[in-house]
Amino acid sequence: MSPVDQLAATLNALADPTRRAIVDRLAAGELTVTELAEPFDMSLPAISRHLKVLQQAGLVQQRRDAQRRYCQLNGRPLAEIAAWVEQYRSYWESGFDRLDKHLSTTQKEKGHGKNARRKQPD
Amino acid sequence: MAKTHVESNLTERAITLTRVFDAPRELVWQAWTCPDQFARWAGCDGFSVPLSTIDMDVRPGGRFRWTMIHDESGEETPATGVYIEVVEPSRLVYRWEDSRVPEESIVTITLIELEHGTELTLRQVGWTYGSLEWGLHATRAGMAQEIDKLARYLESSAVQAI
Repeated sequence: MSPVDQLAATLNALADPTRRAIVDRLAAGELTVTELAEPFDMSLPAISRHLKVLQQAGLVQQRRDAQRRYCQLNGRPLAEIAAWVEQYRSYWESGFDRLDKHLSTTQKEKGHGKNARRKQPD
Repeated sequence: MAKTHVESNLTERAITLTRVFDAPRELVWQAWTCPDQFARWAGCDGFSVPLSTIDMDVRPGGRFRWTMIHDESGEETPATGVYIEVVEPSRLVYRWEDSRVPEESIVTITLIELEHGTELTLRQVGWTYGSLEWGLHATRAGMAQEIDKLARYLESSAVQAI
């Protein structure tokens, strides 16, 4: 999978509320499939299908210990999403700095003094 | 001054930024909706959005387009989309499209008049593959450290925010 396909798979996996809830539960630590399924009003096979999507996206790993299957969260794909959240954060923050400068220049050009542009309390 | 308050929810693909500007709300509104105003600040550091590339039909269903140009390389990044809600001077909602891919994101800008200035809240939900590639590109270009930081951040706070 290319990095972009990988991210698309991560996003697709997280687009579903049940799968987000699974990720949320696993964030607290590993759980068996049965433990994981407990709070959901859903059959075990249905939960397993969701787990499969999360596994394919690389968000969840399973390990076997005797008769139990444990699920673990893998944070790496989330870190990649965090990287582009960071991109947008810096994009908008930089934009807001520019907007701030623009607004103060515009007000000076329009000859608005501080008192004129600010509403004074009575 | 730390000016912008940022919240993000990784699994919802959403980011919300809040900032107070020392300007009347009408002026902030114009900065987003009048091409001659928009051209004077839009983009981010190292980029500009020339007035000649801006076309805005600011009404619900109206379309917009502009081009962000890298100051040094001249590389062009076109933006297009459609206005969904236009409530002057308090609320602007638009869909930001990327012609290359089927994904898009929704940007909601809310302006609240304060006694001294205007509080702007910008919420962006959904992401384009274009932004995704952009993020990856920057990552590859030397943001490995940033990734480590983000991974630690995820291990601590962000996962709880999911």
